[in-house]
Amino acid sequence: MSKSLSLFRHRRAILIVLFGLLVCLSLFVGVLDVSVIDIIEGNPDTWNILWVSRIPRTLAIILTASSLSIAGLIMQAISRNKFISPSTAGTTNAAILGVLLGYLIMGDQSLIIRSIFAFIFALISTFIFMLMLRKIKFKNVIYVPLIGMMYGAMISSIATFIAHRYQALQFLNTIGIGGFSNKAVGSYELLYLVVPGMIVAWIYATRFSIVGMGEDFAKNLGVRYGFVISVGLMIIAIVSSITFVMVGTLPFVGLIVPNLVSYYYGDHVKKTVIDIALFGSVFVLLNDIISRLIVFPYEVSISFTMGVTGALIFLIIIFRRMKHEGT
Amino acid sequence: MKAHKKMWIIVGSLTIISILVYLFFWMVTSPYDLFPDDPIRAIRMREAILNILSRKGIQVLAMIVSAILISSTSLVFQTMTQNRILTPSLIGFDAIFITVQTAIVFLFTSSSIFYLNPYLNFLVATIMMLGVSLLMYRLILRNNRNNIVFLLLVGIILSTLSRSLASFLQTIMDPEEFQSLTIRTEVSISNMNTSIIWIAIPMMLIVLTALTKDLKTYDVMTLGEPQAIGLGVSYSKKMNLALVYIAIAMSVATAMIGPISFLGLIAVNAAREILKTYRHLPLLILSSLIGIIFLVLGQAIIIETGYLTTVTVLISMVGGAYMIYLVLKENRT
Repeated sequence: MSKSLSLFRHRRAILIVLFGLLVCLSLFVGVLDVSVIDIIEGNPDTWNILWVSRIPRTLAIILTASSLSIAGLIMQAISRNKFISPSTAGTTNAAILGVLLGYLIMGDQSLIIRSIFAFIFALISTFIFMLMLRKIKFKNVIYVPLIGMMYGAMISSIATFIAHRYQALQFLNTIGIGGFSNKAVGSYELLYLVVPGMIVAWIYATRFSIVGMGEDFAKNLGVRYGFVISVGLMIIAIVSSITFVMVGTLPFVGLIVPNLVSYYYGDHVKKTVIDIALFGSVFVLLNDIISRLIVFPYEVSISFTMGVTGALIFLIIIFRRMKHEGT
Repeated sequence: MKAHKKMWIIVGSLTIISILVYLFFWMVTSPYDLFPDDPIRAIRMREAILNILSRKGIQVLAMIVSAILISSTSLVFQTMTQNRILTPSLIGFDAIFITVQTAIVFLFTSSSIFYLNPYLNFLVATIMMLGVSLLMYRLILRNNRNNIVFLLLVGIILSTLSRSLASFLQTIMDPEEFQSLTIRTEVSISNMNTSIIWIAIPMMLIVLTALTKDLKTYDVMTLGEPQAIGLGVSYSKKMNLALVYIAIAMSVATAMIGPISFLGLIAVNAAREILKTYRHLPLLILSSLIGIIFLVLGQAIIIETGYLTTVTVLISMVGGAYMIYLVLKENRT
């Protein structure tokens, strides 16, 4: 017991060191040179670069990555399915539909209103998916996310239909394409809204995994089933809508990070929330740095990089899991 | 089959009507005088009409071929997965197709023969798609016997992977090359690649003959794996073969009319609902007919209503709602 605990701490220490290293790297990598000497000497230009561009970008990455990973964790805990995340349950597609409808009803609007529309639709859609999930008899771990993706495809087709009708296809294509390259002072602050969501997630962590065991079980343990589910869905919807409007889609984060962390740390949700946030940040920071360097001085969209690295890691995870279950 | 005589007549005539509507309805609504008295203009008009008809004829042919391929392989796929909701299009053939085309342009430039010659291009794309899916089958089905649901999941991830790679190649590609690439990658029902129809038809015939030979075996396989094996079916072998046919069919359909994910789901389930049988032969015929009706009539209506939407979107919406209904209904029985 004590041995595993020390190992546990050890791993977290490694994670924290890695995180610190990548944060520094993220601050220093870029077209304009930033050197340690300039920072210490207090060179105003260098500090300006850091303050206006590098720090906001790094903060945006940390906020997005950790909140998305936690949202994935909540979703997987509630549904007791390791392959479910906002991107495999139609949540992202619903957020796109929401932004599109907001655009058609109110014209080009501020990011806050966009986020509200995305939030409402993400919430409704996730709620419907959870209802469907309770009705599905054949609860194969892989079958459920497949249904989720088909459900997402249907929502997307509704969005395409509406956009086609009102000549907004071009707008539709621009939704969700983003990345961190344009994040500077004044364009990332809305992301702070995910912080309360993360704190609530940490407080409720244990209750989410209890709820995942079923309604009767939760009630026996004195957990308010409906209430906790609603809290979970709210957090998922807030996180996915805000990060979606602010940075666009980051494939696989909500899916892989909780899986990898639970592989190394076990399924104790409360203990792993912080590790998941850290691990998610490390993963996305690494990808962002790769996207900045691969065609330096230009950048590729982080969605591409994440699509490749995330897919490869996810493939390894499921092959392992299947081998484990198969034998 | 006899019990449903009336139904067969209705569906059969609906299919023919759909095709006729697609071919000829534009004449009714055409603002021009199609049969002018003036002999010179009459000749010109006749030429124009024939021109349009031959173009529409090839389009109809492409849609029929694709509908048959998609519906019949979806049926077999449902038997293999023992599931009424999954369709092979989930494997993500369209993503592989786009990646192959991007890679061709990236490696050999858009002026290469692999890109310009439609037949060669089609062959390369199909062989690549087939290669990827066979590799996937081997990797997954060998270690995890008959776990097709797992195969689907891997397929989806691979398609995200290959789409990301394709987007990456497209970003760093020469803009002019990128322009010429979009012609191949943006294949859809309203932008069909009919140049390959004369190679698609023989491929469809091959797949269909191969499938019909095994239909009785598939009837037995419906009972489930242990039962089928007990009755003397070499289950794994038949399944692997069927998956190869499915991969060929999906490659052809994707290259010709682009991805239409819910068509197979609608056609096969509607056929099951109507016939209430487990025999594959009538199901295959009926689902193919329903597929044709949906695709051809849908497209005809969309053209006549001035492209209010696309048939792909329409089918996704109907199919998605139908899928939710099926999921919920499955629970009740």
